[in-house]
Amino acid sequence: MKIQVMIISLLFSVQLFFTGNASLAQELSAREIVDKATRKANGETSIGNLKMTIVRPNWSREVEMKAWSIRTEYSMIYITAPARDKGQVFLKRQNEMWNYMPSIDRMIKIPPSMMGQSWMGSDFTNDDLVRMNSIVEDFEHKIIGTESLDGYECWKIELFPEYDAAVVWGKIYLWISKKEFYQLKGEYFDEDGGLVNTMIASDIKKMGDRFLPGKMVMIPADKPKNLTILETIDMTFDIPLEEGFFSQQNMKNVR
Amino acid sequence: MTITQKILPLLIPALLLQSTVIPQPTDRNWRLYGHLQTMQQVWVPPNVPQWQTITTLGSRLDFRWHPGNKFSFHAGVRNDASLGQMVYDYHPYFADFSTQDDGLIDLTRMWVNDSSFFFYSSIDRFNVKFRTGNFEATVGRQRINWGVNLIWTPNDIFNAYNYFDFDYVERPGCDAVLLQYYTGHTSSLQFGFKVDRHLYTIDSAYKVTGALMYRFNRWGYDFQFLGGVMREDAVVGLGWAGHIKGAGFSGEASYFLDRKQLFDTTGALVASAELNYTFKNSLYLQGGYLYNSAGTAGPAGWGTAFMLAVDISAKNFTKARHSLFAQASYPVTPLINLSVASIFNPNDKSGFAGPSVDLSLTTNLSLLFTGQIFWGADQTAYGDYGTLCYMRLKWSF
Repeated sequence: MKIQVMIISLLFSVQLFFTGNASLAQELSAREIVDKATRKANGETSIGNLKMTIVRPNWSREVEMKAWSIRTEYSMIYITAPARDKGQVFLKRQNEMWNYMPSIDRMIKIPPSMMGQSWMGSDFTNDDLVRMNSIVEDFEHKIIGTESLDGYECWKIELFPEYDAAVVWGKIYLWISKKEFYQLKGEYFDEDGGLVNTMIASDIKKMGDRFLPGKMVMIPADKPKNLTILETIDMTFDIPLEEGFFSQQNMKNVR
Repeated sequence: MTITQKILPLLIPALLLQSTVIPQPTDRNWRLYGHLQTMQQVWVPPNVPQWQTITTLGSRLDFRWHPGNKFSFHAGVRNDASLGQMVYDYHPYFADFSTQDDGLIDLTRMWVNDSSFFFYSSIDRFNVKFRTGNFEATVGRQRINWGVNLIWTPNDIFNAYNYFDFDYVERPGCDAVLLQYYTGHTSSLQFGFKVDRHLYTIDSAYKVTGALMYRFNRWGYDFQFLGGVMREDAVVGLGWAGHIKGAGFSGEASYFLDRKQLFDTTGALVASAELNYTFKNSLYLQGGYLYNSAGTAGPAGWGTAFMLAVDISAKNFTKARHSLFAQASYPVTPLINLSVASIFNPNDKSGFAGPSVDLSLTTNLSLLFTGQIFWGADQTAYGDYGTLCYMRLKWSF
């Protein structure tokens, strides 16, 4: 397996070498592609409203939230619906995460094992939501092919966790469109190589100064009818937002 | 006059208010929320063949107002109507106990009190918070939560709570002043001060609790140190929260010394540590241990028939020297959560088991079935309470 990957990437780089007239984008390394796509999706900073829908064959539930972030390192999520959970806040500062429940004025530190747990009952894990962005730093990347998705020409990139990275995935495949750098598809594998989730992005729309997929669907491999849909209602990027915003004090004051 | 005739006029305004405020626009500076619920309870007392029942209709309303960035206001009130055989058999003790208000100002009002039912309202939050830069001051009835653990919290000297009172998730407030200065993004210096009394105890005079706490984050852990006075005692404490190989690891310890005899008595050390681990399939396991140096290694009963009537404090979560806790919970689907918790006193061999099934019926409607099964010999920590079964239908808005 590893040899195949090496050969594919070797062939790919050789091909680049010989064609010589590759566009700028094509000269990017796998890491740079993932980095660029992540930067585009996250911006330097962002503020937005999101809606998550948990879909099952017989029912569905919605969670709405407001989210703030600086790059990959800092994020804050404020739950706006349903009524039972409204007001709960999640804070992520680099590798640490806290949860604040205003009804009982309780702040708890979320341990790593809980980050791999499904987030508020969805097919997203805590890790997906607040550490999704670490796919640049915590993984090694390789371009393993080119595929067309919904008419977008995409790189297929393989990600393996760095040896000492505390991540929940054993391997990830990402499909990133070559021209627009949209992350259109992702496949997430456990440490034993089994497919756990497939993410499919669609509904490209304008958000602030850029176009991005407005809808992400997460499909668990073992129960493909159990979907989680994450929709971006609105999002603005690169507004002034300081690191100091992501504080325990502000957790108790944002709304 | 029937119970319904007496109670309905009091509930209707709340209901009308609730229906008119929903849906609420998002860009306003206030918020009204809460829940409405009904709970059926059956008590199977130990050594007595007769079962006891109680029905409670409850509502809670919280109001938060943020006029500008400097000030915010929070008020919360719970309204409970209880009826049933248990109310009758323990009249008037049951109603009196339910409406006791330990605060500086009595904010609990009994509206209707009869031998078979009672209806009361209790304001458990009523505070103003002032904020400027890194400084915050909160004055009024509030919950000051200094605990780090989830079950036993020896650092929670202002608002220690009774684990068995599972239905009161918001927990009681206290009449206090809390000053907080945030020294960093994850660190703060806090000073809390409250006055309260413990009604239905031998000494029910007003007493002072005041302490300073410093909280900070280092090496991936949250740490806290505190010192001050809790009623009759001087107290120093420390707490931490972090992780070992992915498992949440937290702990708290407090040392209490009678402040009138600081040098000629031995104090009480109350310490608790907890571990929790969440598996990838969302199975959650938790274990906890509580040590109380002033606790007994013999039978550790409270000498009361009601677990909810005991006078819990950060110094006294149980009367036992050692207590063990274990819990497993698993969401079968996002709508169905199964959980079982257990507490055991290894000295007097008494214990508790609490199985529960929590069902989400619609987005805002949930149905809970839970039990509190106590066992042990008479006078032991958990031997005198029998078995309690609950069914609760709760609508959140």
